[in-house]
Amino acid sequence: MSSNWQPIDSYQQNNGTPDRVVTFSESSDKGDDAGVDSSPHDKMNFFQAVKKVQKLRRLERQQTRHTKSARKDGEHAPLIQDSRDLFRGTEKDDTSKPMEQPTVLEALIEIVLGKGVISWCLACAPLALVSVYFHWGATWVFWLNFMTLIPFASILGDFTEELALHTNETIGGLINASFGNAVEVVVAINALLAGEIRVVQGSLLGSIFSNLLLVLGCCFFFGGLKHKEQKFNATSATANMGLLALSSIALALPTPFAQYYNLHDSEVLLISRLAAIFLLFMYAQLLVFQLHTHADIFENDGDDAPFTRISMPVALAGLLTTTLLVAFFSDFLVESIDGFTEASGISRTFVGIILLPIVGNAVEHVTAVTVAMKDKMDLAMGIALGSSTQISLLVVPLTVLVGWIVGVDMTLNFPHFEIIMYVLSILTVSIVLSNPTCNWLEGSLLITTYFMIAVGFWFEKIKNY
Amino acid sequence: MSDLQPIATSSRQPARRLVSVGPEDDVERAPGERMSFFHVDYTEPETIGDLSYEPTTVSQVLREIVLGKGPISWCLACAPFALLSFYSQIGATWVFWLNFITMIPLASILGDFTEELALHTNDTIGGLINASFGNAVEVVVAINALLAGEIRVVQGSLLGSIFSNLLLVLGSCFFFGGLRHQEQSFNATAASANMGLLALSSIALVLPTPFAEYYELHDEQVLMVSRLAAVFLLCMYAQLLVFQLHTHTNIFQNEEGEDEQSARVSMTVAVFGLLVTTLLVALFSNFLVDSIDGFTEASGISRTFVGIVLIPIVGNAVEHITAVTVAMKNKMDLAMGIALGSSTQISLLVVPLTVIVGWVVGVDMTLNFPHFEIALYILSIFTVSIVLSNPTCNWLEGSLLITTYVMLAVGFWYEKIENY
Repeated sequence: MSSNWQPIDSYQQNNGTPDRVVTFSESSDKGDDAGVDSSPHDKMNFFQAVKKVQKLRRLERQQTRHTKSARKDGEHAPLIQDSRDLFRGTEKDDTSKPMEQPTVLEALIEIVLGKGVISWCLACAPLALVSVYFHWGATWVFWLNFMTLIPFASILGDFTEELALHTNETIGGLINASFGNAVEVVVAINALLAGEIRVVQGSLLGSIFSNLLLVLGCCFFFGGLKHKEQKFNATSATANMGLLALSSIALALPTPFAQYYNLHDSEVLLISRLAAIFLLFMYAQLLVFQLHTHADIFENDGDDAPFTRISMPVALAGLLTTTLLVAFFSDFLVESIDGFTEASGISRTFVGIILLPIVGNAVEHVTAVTVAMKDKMDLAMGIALGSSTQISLLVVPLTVLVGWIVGVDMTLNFPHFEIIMYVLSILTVSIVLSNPTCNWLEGSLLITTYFMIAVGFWFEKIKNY
Repeated sequence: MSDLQPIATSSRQPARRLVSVGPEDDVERAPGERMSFFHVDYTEPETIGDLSYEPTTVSQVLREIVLGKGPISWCLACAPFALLSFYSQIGATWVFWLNFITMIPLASILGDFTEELALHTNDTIGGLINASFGNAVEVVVAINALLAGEIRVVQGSLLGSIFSNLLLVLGSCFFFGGLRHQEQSFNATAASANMGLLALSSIALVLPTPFAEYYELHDEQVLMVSRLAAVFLLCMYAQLLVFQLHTHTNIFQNEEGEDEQSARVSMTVAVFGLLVTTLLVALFSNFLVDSIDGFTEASGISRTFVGIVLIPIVGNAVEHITAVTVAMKNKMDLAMGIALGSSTQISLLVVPLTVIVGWVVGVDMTLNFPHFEIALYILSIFTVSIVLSNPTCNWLEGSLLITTYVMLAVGFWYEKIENY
């Protein structure tokens, strides 16, 4: 199916009347089979999903910018009325002025400060620094750095997108694939270098739980409140669940060799490292599949005129700077965990599994839910499921290998309880996804699962950890 | 509406043999709602030309509810003997079996009165009533056992009810329905919603596990986690009710439109009958639970087996027959509504309810089940979800589920929980 941008033209032809019923069959020009299943929903892989969201955001910004510039002339341009406005491409009404290219400074300010409530969290940055150097106490340090990191995830995403726009589809997809969960990677490696293995394992597992249960559940729930029943593409959902199941087997592999929860057993380490290599190999194959051999199955944005706001060197510099800042603040965060767990009584496991993933996921969460309420469930699921798959196939084995290199004994040996929870979550989600429609009850079910798991982790006591 | 003509139905019923007439022959109901099929089945005329016997006066109706069920009603004859056996010294085995058999028809009568009461209210409240009283017998037995301090029996009977509904009843529906109709289809949304909720309940069962060394019933944290999880499950059940009765009723409604059945007894009579039957159920289940001790000693059957395999028969026998009959009439959605809906109800309502009741009366009831039972529970859910992933069914899938149940029963026969 070439694109679902066809409806734009139809709307334009009809002067934007909302009554036209869009039938996707008109726009499928693959002719004969139009995809293996006749579902009108795009097979959205994670990278395409991220690109699509970024595109939506770009168009929103264009719309806002156009609105602002139009209002400067005294016109009263309508604000974004509904999702259709987001799809209006550069073929705007002829009454508009041509779009101005923002200056570099404007673009940077927009990236850093133009996100409303989330950007206010940046105000915590200087406070976070002060709290560290003036010894305000571990709890303050933890929470201030926590709040500071949240907008950084969004800024990092923007710079990644800008950089990706300067390259072709494939490299762009690769860049998105690598940096899509940059914050999780940075936090995990920081914790690894600090020797906090429990926190590493917890934050990675928690990110997967958060994406799989909380984000997906909120998408289904809030989307289901608005639209009674929503459809999604079952094929890509199943593929993602299959890869997650593979990762759960990898987690189960080292288990019989650990008596209770033994981190330093040499056999456990060896098995973990071998499994990590296999998982990374699988991830590479996933990339080849999505970006090379079967790229044509997925949506093709051929008509998208790249509208980059900043040049490539600027994007690169921005990316590196933001990554360094993330590394900097997450370093403080990780160091404060010790004191924080002692002062607050919250277990390390809970901090790793529930609290830390919020940093990397909060922004993604809001995006996915917004998109789901706009009835683009495939896109929302692409974000949520794709992110989980990425973490389980890329970030987890990556930390094992990094640990191997720097000499830290990071293994795939998770406590049995956590592995069981992981497997059961995958089972629950796959049951929910087996039926290619979703409703608010299924969303509530997933969210409740997450809360129950959080309750379990609150009480979990791993001896000596 | 004792119509003699074949009523036009959906294409799922291509051929109809006109052997049974009756007002509710082609009516589909919401899951969990009992259908008084014994109207149809047990008042069948011998020849096609006859009108079915329509009871009209209250006493006639009551007589039909209590006595009009064929072999099941004969079991009521055990009632006086059950009473006698309890007060005599005849031995726990007799007490157990006599009370066991007495309770089976009581479950059916309870179902009839529940249905009558529900008919006096609108769809929503009626659905609510059915949802609450649908498993009244299981609730009564469980609370009786709880108050007697028999935690193993409580846990066993609840888990066993879920296994029975999920594997045995569902399997029989698929099997006997599949023998008659080559392939039957059902609604996938309802099925996956139910299975998703069952998976959620399995997570709730796993939650207290790591805090128990082997199988520890009195640990503080186990209790706390169990009670929190129970609250979550009850919230989920409330949301399920909202989903079924309010926001998504169209999924669960009968496609053929009108439900012409009217209540046969007045509301007061229905409530009265409901209360009387519930009291009788409570009485006999009290004797039953009391006799378990002696029964397990005398017969050598383990408490676990009694709880998981034997006791659920009491609450489920009648439901089982109903569901299979309905499935053979090619109303697979209704049959699955009965089977799956019952399992979901028990796992989301009755299990957390016993935990909360235990909290209130001070009995340490937790969600900490033996690991073996939890593993089997999860695997059963997994198996059923695989079977239900394809929205058509056949006799082989039915046989598969029945075999799973039998294998589970074998496992429980040999299970030995230390000190239990």
